[in-house]
Amino acid sequence: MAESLGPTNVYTPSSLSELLSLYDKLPQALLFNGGTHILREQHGIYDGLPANVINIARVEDLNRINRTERHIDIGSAVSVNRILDIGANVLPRSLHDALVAMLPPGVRNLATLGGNICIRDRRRTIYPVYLLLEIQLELRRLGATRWTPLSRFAGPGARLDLQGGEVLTRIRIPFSTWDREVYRRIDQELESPSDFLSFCGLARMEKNVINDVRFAFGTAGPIVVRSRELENELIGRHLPLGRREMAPVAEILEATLSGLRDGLSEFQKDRIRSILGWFLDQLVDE
Amino acid sequence: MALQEDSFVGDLAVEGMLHGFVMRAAVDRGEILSISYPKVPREITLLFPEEIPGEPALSLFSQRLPLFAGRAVTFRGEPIMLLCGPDERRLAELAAQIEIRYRAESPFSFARPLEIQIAEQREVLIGAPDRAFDDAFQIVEGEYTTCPQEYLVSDPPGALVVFEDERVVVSCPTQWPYHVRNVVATVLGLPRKQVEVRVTRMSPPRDSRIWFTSVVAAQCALLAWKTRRPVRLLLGCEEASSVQPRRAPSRILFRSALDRDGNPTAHDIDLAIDCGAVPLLGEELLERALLAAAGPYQSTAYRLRGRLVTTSVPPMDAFQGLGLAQGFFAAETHASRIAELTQTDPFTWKERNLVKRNGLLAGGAIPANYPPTGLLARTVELSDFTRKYAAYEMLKKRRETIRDQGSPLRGIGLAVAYQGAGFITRSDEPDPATVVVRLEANGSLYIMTSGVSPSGEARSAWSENAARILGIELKRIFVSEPDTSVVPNSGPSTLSRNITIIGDLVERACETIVRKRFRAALPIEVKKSLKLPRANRWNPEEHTGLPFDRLSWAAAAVETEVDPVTLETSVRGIWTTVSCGRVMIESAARRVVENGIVHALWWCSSSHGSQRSPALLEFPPIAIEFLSAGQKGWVGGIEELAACVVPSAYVSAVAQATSRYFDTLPITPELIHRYAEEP
Amino acid sequence: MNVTFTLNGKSVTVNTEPDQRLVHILREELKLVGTKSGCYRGDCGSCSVLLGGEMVPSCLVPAFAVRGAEVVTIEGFTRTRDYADIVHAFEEAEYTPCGHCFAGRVLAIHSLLLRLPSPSEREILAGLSGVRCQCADVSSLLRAVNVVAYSRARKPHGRGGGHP
Repeated sequence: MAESLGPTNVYTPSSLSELLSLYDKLPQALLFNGGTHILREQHGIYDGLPANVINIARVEDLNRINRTERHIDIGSAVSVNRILDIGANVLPRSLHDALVAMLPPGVRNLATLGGNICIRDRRRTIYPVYLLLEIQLELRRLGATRWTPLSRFAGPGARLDLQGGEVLTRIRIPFSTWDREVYRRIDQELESPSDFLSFCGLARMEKNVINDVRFAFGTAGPIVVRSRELENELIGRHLPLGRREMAPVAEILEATLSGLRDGLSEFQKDRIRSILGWFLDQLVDE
Repeated sequence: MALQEDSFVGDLAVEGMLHGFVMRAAVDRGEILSISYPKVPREITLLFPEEIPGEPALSLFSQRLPLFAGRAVTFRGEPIMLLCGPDERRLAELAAQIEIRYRAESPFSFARPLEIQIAEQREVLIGAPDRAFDDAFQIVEGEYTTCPQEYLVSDPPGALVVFEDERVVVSCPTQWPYHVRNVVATVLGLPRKQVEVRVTRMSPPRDSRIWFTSVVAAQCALLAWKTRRPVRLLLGCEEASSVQPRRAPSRILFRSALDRDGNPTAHDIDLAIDCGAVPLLGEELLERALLAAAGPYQSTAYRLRGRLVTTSVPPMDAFQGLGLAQGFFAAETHASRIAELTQTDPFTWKERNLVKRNGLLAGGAIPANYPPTGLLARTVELSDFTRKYAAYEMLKKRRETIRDQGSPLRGIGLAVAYQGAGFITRSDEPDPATVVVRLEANGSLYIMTSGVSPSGEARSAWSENAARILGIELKRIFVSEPDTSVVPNSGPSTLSRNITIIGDLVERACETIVRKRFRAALPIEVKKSLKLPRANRWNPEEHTGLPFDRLSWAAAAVETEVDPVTLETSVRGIWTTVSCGRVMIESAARRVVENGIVHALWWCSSSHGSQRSPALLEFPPIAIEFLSAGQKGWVGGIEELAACVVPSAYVSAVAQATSRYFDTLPITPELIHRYAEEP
Repeated sequence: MNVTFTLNGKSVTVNTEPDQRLVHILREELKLVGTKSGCYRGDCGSCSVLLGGEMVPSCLVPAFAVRGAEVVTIEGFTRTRDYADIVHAFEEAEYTPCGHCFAGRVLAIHSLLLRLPSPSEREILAGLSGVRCQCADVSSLLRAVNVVAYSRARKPHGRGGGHP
C-alpha cells in the first residue's frame, strides 16, 4: 500500500516492483526500514524526517533469506536478530560474532544489514567482515539489476556507489571454509569514536604454513586498514615468524599505516601492530 | 509483586498542563549581547530573569547560585530564559529559532587557574613538618588527579508544579524536599508554608538530587506562576548529561618524608578541587578532601593546603564520597607507592601505619572509632593478596616491556579508608533534623520524616528497627510519604544520614514511646531532633577534633588484568571487608556496597563525559564481608566506602600489572599506552 | 496522521505526526507510563516493548512503522503467566529493579528465555545487556533469571505468553 500521509509523506509499498516504481518517481525519498541509524543520529527527537519517506519494512522480497550450498542471500530488510537465528553453525563465525557485538539485543530486532551497509559517513564496526567475506550486493532500480562487490560499493571515503533510484535488495554471503576465523571489537563505539577499533582475520593453514590469509581493521570513521601486499607477503610463510622474517612484514605494515589518507593516532597504530601480532600467534598450532 | 504504581515525575500529567523548556547558554563564559526571537505563538509563554518575583537564586549553606545567567554567562548550559507551551514539538521548534548572541571569553580552566578563580583557601600546619623533611631518610613525591564523574541516573530530572488555591504543589524527585520548598518559596516571594513538596518516585539518585532538583523545580514554578497553569519541566537525556553536576575533579600533590624504616614522619599536601562555576558545597568538599588526603594513618607532622577553584562548568555536586573519595584516592595510592619504593608489602606497610587505638588520625583528627583488628587482614585473606602480590611482583621484575611475555598482565592492589555520616562543616542548626513517631490507639506506628528512600532500604531499616524496639509487627508500621505538608524537616538524604542520623532519631523516638507506653494514653507522639555533641567538635582551621561522630571502615583488594594486545583492563575480582557497626538488613547493605563498587569502577575506567553505563558483562566477581558488631549498638553509613577504597586499589593493581606508576583517573588504554611509551 | 495498531490485544487509533516516536505515543497520548523514556538512542532499554513479539526500544520506532503492528507494553504483559513467573522469581531472588528499568528488565528476561531456555551466566549477561541501569544488582539478577529458567524447565510452557 502506498499513500501520502501529512506533512511527511510516508509510503509503504508491499512489493518490490511497487517500491522501485515509487523510488523512481521520488529518488530523494528516504528509504526507511529499521531506521536505527537515522533515529539514533538525530540531534533532537523532533528533528523530523524528510518530506518523503518510503517504508520498505513490508516489502516481502526484501525480507527473505535464501540459502544454497555456495552462499546465503539475505534480504536487505531482514533484521539482525533474524540473521543470527540462522545459527552460528551456518553463518560465518566472524559475521556471527560481529553481529552480536554490533548493537544491544533489542535494537538488533530493528537494525538490518542493508541499513548498516548503506550508512554513508562511516564504515562501522562490521565492515572488515563484509570486506573479507567478499560479500556481494544486489542493487535494483526500475528496469535494471546489477551485482557489485561491497569493496566497490563502499570504497574509500564516505561515498557509496548508488545510482539514482537504486535500492539495495540482497546481500550475498559466499560460504567459504577457513581454518581460523576471528573477529574482535575493541572499545564500545559509544565511548569515544576515535578509540574504536575492530578486527577480522581469516586464515587457511597447513602444518603452520599460511596457505591463505586475509585481515582488515575497521575504525569509527571511514578508515579501513587492509593491505593485500601484506597478506601476499604472509602467504606461504611458516609460523611462528622469527625476527628476521617479521622485518619485511613490519615494513609493509608501517608503509600501509603511514599511507592512510586521514591518519590514525600513534595509539591506534600501535594497537593495530599488536593485534596483527596476536592474530599471527593464534594461527600457530601448539 | 504487582506492577507498581509508577509515579516518576515524567509519568505525571494533569489537565491543562504545559510543558517547560530551558534555553541555555551555548558558550563556556562570556556576555550575552542580544536575544532575538520570531513572533511567539499565542499558546507559548516566554519568561525572562527580570520577571522573577522573589530572589532569583538558590541558597545552599552560605553559597548562592543564581538561577539564570543574567548578562554574564559563567558556564555552558547556564539557564538564560524559559519557555512553556502545550506542545513539546512546537516548543522545540520555537527554541531552535531563538538567536542568542554572545561575546565569548576564555573559559576558566582548572589546569591553570587565575587568582580570581580561587573561591576558598585553607592552610593547616600540624607539628613541625619542615624539621621532619630536613631529617628525612627519603622523600617521596607524587601528584594524583581525578576526573569528573557523571551521574548515571536513568530517570530524567524534572518537576511538576500546580497552583492549588493559595498553595503551590511541587512534585519532583529530590533528596531534600525542604530545600526545594525553601527555594521555590524564595523565588516566588511566598511564605514557605504556602509551598508543598511531594517527592516522586526516582531511580537511586546517588546524590544527584540534593540541590539540582531545587533549580529545576524553581524554574518550573516560575512558569506555573506566570501562566497560572500546571507546568511540567523535564530535562532530556542529553541535556541532563551536559548540565547535571558531576563529581568534582581534583589534583593533589604529595611530598612525604620517610624515616629509615619507610614510615612517614611528615607530609606536605597541596590540594586543589574544581568546584565548577559556583562552590555550592565547596566548604564541605574541601574539608573532607583535606581530611581524607591526610589518610587513615597515624598522625605525623603536616602541612595541608587546599583550594577551591571555580571554573566554567556547572557547579559540582556531592557525589558519593563528597571529597573523601578524591582525598583517599590520593592518600592510598601514595601509600602504596611508598610501600613499593621502600620494598615493603603494601599490607605490611598499611597495617603497620594504620591508626591504632588511642592514636590520632593523620592530620590530627580524633577518630570516633578505630578500624577493627583484622579489617585489612581479612581482606588480604579473602583475596589471597599476599601470595598474588608476590607472584605478580616477580613477573613484573622479569618483564622488559608490556608485551614481551605475551600473556595477560596481572596486578593486585589494596586500600583502606573510612567514611562518616552527615556534614562536617555545617551543623544542622538552625533547622535541626527532626523526626516524629506516633503510636496510634489501634497499635499502628507511623514514622514521619522527610528522609527519602528511593530503593526502600532505609525505610525497611527504620521499620525493622522500630518493630524490634516496640515489639510491633512490621505490617503495622508505616513510613509516611515525604510530603512537606505532613512530615517534619529531617534534612537531606545524603552522606548516609538516612541510616545514621534519621535512623538514630527514629530509634530514640521509639525508645521514648516504650518508656511512655504503659503510663500515658494512646496515641503517643514523640518528636526528636538532632543534638550535636559539643565536646571535640571539628575545628576546620586547626584540623582537630571529631570530624564525624562515628566512622565506618572498609578495606578492599582489587585484582586486574591488562590485555597486552589492546591494553584494555578488566577486573578479575574485588574483595571488600566492611566494619559499620550493626548491620540491620544484610542483603540491603550488600546491595548498597556492591552498587557503590560498580560505580567506583566506572569512575576508574571510563573517560569522563561518557554517557554509557556499565554493561552487565563488565561486572566482575565481588565478595563483600561485614565484620558484624552484633545485634546492638550504633549503625554506620556505608554508601561512600566503595568510592573511598576501590579506585586506589584499582590503580595500584594496574600499576603493578603494567610496571608503571599510575596516578590519575580514569585509566584508559590510551593512557596505558602513553605511560608505557615513556622511558 | 491516523495510526491504527493492536495494543495489548486491543485495536487503537491515534492521530499523531508520522515521525512521532512510539514511546511518546504510549506515554503521552495513550497514558501508558509503564514504558519509560530514557536515552532516545535505544541504548538504555527503559522504553522496551514487544513489537510483533520481539523486544524493541520504542524510542526508535516512528509512528508510521507501527501501523497494523502488534504492540505489547509492560501493562499488557502483566496479564500473562510469563510475567507472573518473572515477578515471582524477582521476589525469590530478592531482586528489586528500580521502577525505571523494570519494564526493560522484565521484557528482556522474557525475550532471552524464549530464545535460550537454559542460558549460561554469560548468555544471561549478554542477553540482558540492552537494559542499562545504574541500579544493577547483578548477583540477584542472575539468580532471578535462573529461577525463572528452572521453573519453566520443570513445567510444560508454551510460547506466546506475550499476549494478554
